[in-house]
Amino acid sequence: MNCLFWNVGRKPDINQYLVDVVSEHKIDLLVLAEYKDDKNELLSMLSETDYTLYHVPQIACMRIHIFSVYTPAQIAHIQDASHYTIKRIPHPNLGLLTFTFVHFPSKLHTEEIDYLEESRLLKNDIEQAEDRLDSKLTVVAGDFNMNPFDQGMMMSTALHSFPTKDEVKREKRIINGRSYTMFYNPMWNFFGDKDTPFGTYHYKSSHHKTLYWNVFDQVLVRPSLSENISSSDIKILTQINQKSLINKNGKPNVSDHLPLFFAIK
Amino acid sequence: MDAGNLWGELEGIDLQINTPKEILQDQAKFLPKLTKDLLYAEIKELEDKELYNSFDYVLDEVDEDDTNPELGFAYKFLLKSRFMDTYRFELFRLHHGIGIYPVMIRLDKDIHQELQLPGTYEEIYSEEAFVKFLSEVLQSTRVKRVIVALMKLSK
Repeated sequence: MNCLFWNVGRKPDINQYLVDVVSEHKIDLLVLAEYKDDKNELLSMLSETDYTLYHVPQIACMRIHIFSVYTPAQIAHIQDASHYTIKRIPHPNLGLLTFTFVHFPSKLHTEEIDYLEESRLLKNDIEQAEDRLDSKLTVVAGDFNMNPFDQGMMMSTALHSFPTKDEVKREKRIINGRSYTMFYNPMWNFFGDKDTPFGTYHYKSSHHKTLYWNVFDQVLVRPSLSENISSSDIKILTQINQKSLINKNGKPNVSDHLPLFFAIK
Repeated sequence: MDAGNLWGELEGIDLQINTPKEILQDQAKFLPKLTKDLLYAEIKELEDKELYNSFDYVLDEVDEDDTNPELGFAYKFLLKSRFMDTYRFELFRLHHGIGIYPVMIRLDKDIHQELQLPGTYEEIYSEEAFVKFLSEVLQSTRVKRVIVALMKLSK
């Protein structure tokens, strides 16, 4: 199952990129944040290719658009909040997966502690959805506006996500008698300059501590799905149909975020 | 020394105080009628974890051994559809102590933004103010849009 998440940065004419990326990567699930282009035009443009996608109706999370090869009737709505939406979507081999797509607020308007709070509330909603659906086949993806090492991603009470499959095999940790469920976060593999690009979002700052390249766009899975995704199934795209998404210095220039492709086998 | 009646007059005391939960239950009853029986609202008690995550000040009241402290009452107000049994949208969470007021309310982010409220929680000090605030929330553009979207999908 091929998925693509992209914060398209309110770019008005993004549809041709989207048509191209869907065809090129055989996308089953296209998830967009800050999408302001015409979705009907996108569906129409896609219908002229070999690919048909359907727009999943929005109820209460207007920040995220989902386009899927599955008809809207095949997708169950589970829960919405302003900054995330939880859906139940079929996987060709694994049955129904619970997907949570996230677009947390910009760092410009939000403090570190707010991300921790929001991540706790999100985790709580995910756990309740898992209980109601009696399934831990959960994928969480999107623009978290946090790096994998930030508190909201790592704290036991928040998303509690870990960089290695080996550690998440235990599924939960007991701290002071309380149990905290875990996620596997393969996005730790995308830091540093071993491969390009060096992240999904570049931010130039004059602060004493800065990273420049951030990995804000991430995909996490529950331990039960950790063998169904690997870092080789994840790509931060820098071009679509030979059109570059970065400038000559390697910085994103179509949107301020680069698209995140991931496959769940 | 005979100190006399130190209680003052009790006759005028209003025993008809409605708790926030009762007010929410009354409002929940209107929704099916207003939505052709497509939607309904549910008032659900918050689990401890939800309470701590939403109203972190209550952690000051929790004993080290997690024994039953006086945490008061906490609920969430959910919008649901009769034909989409897995779906829910949470309008807000509220918490209050035994004395009922003040009631602390944590709204959905977009409602919070639409009502241009400062801070994380809204603090309400009387039943009258609670009813007025609830009316603003339920009549917000955000809530109306969600109701319309949910009704369309529920048909």
